[in-house]
Amino acid sequence: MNDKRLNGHIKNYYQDKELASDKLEQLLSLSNSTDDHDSDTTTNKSPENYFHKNYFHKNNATNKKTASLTQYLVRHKFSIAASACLFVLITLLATPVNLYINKNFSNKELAILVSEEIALNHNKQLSIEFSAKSFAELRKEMTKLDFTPISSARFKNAGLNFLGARYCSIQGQLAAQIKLVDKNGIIQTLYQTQLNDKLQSLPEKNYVVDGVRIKQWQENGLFFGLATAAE
Amino acid sequence: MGKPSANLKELLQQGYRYAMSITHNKSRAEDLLQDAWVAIMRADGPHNKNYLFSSIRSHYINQNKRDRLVPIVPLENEVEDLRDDLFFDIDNEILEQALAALRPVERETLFLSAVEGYTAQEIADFTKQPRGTILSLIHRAQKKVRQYFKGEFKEVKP
Repeated sequence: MNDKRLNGHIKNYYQDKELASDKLEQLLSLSNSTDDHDSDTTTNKSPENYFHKNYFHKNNATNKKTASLTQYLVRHKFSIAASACLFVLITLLATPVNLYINKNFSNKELAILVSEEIALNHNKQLSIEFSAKSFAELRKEMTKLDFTPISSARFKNAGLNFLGARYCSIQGQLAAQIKLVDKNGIIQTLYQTQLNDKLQSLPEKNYVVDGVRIKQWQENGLFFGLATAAE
Repeated sequence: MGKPSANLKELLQQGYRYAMSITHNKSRAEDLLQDAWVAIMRADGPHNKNYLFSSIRSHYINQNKRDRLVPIVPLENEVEDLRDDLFFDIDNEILEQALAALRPVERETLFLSAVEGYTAQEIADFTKQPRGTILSLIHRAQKKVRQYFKGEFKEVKP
């Protein structure tokens, strides 16, 4: 496929992306007071002419109220966001984990959620907590796990070496993140957690999320996820 | 009552697509666009594409300090391609996945080139990167996307 054709595909792909009309109106409402502007704007329709320095000081009561509310929201966006996060956190903590996991997600949606979690953990590059150099050592060190971490038959000739491990979670379940390095020096992170009803329903499949390639599968009663940089 | 200029709507849509090229995530693109637009409103403009794109880019970098949209010099050695044992379903989302596999800086550069039609020098000036780096980014991004399209025609393993 030549460059021109490829670029055409990419152009079509992005041009199909449209901001939802309600969100577009929200953004426009930040700047729009065209009923006040129309009488004194020129026929020049450039965006610059819709905004002038007195927008937030117009005597239009509705615009003043909208502007005040908007200004308030913008000024306090961090505390509002923090309050919202606290509310969500309390709700999640008060809700049984299985209800959260089973909340109307299709298998595909759940698989993508899990992939996003794994990609986030992979990209965070957090320090290891356990310096185990083998699964045997890991089993002795990671005592909080409610499963036994094991190697996979797929790694038999993969030439992967242990760098260590840490605790993490997948869909609210305690999991192990095991940091490995291959013979080319590329870091891979392996995730293992106990299988539950939902994880058990996920197909073996590959995903690419946030520049991370993720393989999901099940083996010997455990859920496995393997992540590496996509390039 | 007057209506918002069609130019403004189109400007915001262009900004949204640019934000999508960087984040490849609808919600994050919406948030990024909103942050950038609010900043422009507070500064009282200017309301043009270049300024909006710059604002979006700055906000992204500030919010994602780990990824500063700085291209990383690729390794000289050939890296083992794990996709020898991985396989992708063939469906209409092949391009979606191909773009997801790119780094944000690669997606951004490809977007500015393929969609916005900017030259390499224009992209270099905008992103403050050397022109040669931009050309490399475009080439690598196109190569990766082509690999996914090629993969579409491989036999799919069960």
